Amino acid sequence: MLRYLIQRLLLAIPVMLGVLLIGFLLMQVVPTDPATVRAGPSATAEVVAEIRRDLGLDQPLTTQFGLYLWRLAQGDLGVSIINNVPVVQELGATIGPTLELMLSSLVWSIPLGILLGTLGAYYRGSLIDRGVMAISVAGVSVPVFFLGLILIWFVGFKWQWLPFTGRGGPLWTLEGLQSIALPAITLGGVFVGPVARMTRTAVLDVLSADHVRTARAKGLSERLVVLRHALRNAMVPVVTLIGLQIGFLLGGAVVTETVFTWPGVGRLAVGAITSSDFPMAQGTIIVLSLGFIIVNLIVDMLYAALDPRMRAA
Amino acid sequence: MTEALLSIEGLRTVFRSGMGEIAAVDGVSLSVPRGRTLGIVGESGCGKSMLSLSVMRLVPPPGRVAAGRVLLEGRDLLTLPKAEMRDVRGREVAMIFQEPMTSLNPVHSIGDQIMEAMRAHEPRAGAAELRDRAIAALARVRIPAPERRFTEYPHQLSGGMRQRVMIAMALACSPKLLIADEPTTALDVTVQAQILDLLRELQSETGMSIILITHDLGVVAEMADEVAVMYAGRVAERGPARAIFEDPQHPYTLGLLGSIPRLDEERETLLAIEGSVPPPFALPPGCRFAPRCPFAISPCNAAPPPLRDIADAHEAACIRAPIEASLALGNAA
Ligand SMILES: Nc1ncnc2c1ncn2[C@@H]1O[C@H](COP(=O)(O)OP(=O)(O)O)[C@@H](O)[C@H]1O
Ligand SMILES: [Mg+2]
Repeated sequence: MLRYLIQRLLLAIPVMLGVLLIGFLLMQVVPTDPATVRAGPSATAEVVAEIRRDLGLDQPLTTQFGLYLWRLAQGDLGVSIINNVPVVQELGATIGPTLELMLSSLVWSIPLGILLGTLGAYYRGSLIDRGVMAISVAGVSVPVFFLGLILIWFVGFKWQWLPFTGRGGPLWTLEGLQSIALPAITLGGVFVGPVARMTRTAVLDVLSADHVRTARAKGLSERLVVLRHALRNAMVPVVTLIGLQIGFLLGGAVVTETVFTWPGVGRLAVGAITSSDFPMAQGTIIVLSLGFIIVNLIVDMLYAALDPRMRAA
Repeated sequence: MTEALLSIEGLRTVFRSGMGEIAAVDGVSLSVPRGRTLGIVGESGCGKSMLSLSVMRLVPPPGRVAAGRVLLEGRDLLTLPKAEMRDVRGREVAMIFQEPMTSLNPVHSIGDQIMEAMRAHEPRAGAAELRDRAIAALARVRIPAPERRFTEYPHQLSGGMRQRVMIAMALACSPKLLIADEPTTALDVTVQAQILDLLRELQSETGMSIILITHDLGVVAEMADEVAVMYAGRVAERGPARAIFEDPQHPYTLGLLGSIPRLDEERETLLAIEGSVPPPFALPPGCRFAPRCPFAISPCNAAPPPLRDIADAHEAACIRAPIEASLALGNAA
C-alpha cells in the first residue's frame, strides 16, 4: 500500500512538470504582449522595452522557463501585471472559497448519486428505475451554466429566496451558507446524474456476479446483499469513474464561480486570462492542476482502501 | 430406506425467451435420504445447476420455477413466504458452487464472510463468539492456521482453500442438506480428491445429507449412495449407486459409463456418446436421447418415455430397458 502510494506520488512529479511547461508555453503563444499591457496604452517603446527587461521577457524561452521554475521553487509566482499584487497572495485568498464550493457540492451530490443509482439498480426495470434514469440523463445533458442561470433567474431573482452573487462569509455563518447554496446546488447538480448512472451500471454488474449468488445462498436479506455485496464492490469502479470526472468538476467550478461571481481560483483564472495577466493566469493553472493531481491521489488511495487486492500491491 | 429429507416432485423450471417458454428442468422428481448422498450426473447443459438453484429458489431471472414441489421434511419450499425461505437458506439447506475463484466476495475478509453467514441466522450472537466459531469452522474444514486465514482475503487463497472456505461457510449453521454444484470441477485432481474426502468426513461428523452434482461419474462412484442421471432437463435413470454402476439400464447411462460399443470400429473401444445435449428450445418430440441413442427404435420418437421400475428402487426412462448386457456389447443396431 505504501509502496503503491509512493509510486503514485513519484508519477505525479513529471505530470506536474508537464503541466508547468504547457502553462508556460500557452502563455507564450497568446498574441498579447504582457509588457505592452503592463505599460498601458500611452507608453513609449522604451518604457515597454524596459518593462520587458524587468520581467525577463527578453531572455530566451528556456532561460525564462528555468527562471520561472527557480522562482516557483521559492514560492514566488510573480506579481500580477494588472494590479501589482503578489500572485501567491491572490491565490491564497481564493483557494479557500474554491475548496468550500467543491466540498459543499460533492458532499451531497456524490451520496445522492450513489443512492439514486443503487435504488435504480435495486428496483431495476421499475418506475423508480426509470425515474432515476430520467434524472441522470437530464443531469448529464444540462450544462453547468444553464443550470446556474435557471437557478439565478428563479430562486435568486424572481422569488428572491437566496443570494446569487459573491460569498457572504465563512461556511459556518448563516450568510456563508445562504450564499454558497445556489453555487453548490449548481455544481453538485450536474454531478448527481453521472454518479447515479455509473453507480447503477456498476451495481447491476456486480449483482449478477457469482459471489452475490453465494451471499443469497447464505440467507442474507436482499438489503444486505445489495449493500454489502453489490454496492460495496461497485464502489471500486464508481470511485475510479468519479476520479475520471475530476476535470469535468474543475471545469464546472470555473463556470460556476464565474456565473455566481464566487471569489475562487476559477474566477481568478478567467479574469487573469481575459486580461492577459500572465503571471496570475499561470498561478491559477498551477493551482488547478495541483488540485487535479491531489484529487487523483485521493482517488488512488480510496481505490486501494476499497479493494484488498490493491493493498497488497 | 429411511424417510427422505428432501423430495422434489415434478419440478419444472423455465426460461421465457423469444421462442416461447423453454424448460431447463422438465418434470424432475427425486428424493434425498437423510444422512446420505444423492449424486446427480449429466453432461453440461442438462439442467443440473438450474435444478439445484430451483431448490434454493435462486433461479436467476428471467428463469422461474413453473411447477412442482420441493418438500423439505414435508414443507414445500416453493410456497414459503420470502422471509421464511431466506431462513431456510444457509440454515437448513446450504449450497456451494463450481467456481471457487469467484464465489467469495473479493472485498470482504474470509472471517467476515463466514461470520456474516452465522449472523444471518443468529442475529443475537456476540462478536467474540462469532469470531471463535468462524475460526473453528475454518479449522473444521482442515484449513491450516485458521486464525491467520480468518483475516485474509479470498485472493490470498488457492482455489482448493477457497472451496474449503466455501464449505466452512456453508456448514456454519449446521444445515441438514448441502447442495454441492460441481464443487471440484474447477480444481486439479489431487485437490479434488482432498475436497471430496473432506465432504465425506464432514458428512459422517454431522449426519447431513448431500446433493452432489457433477458431470464426472468417477466422483459419483466415490461419493454417492443414490444416483440420478439427468439428460436434457429430465431424469433418465435413478437408483442406488450400486445398481446404476453394476446394472445400468438407460443407454445414456451406459454411454456415460463408456460401455456402449462403437458401431463402426473395434468393439473394445470404450467411448463417450457422440453428439451433444440438445438445447431446451430444440428438443426432439419423443425420447430426448433418441437422436444420439444406438438402441433407438421408431417408437422412441413418438412420446417421451416415463420412468419405469426396473428393479427395487431402480427406475429408467427407456422403453428398451432392461437392455441385456449381451445386447449392449453385441449387436446394438
Ligand atoms: N439465463 C438463461 N436463459 C435461458 N436459458 C438458460 C439460462 N440459464 C440456463 N439456461 C438453460 O438451462 C439449461 C440448463 O442449464 P444448467 O442447469 O446450467 O446446466 P448444467 O448445470 O447441467 O450444466 C441450459 O441448457 C440452458 O440452455
Ligand atoms: Mg452447472
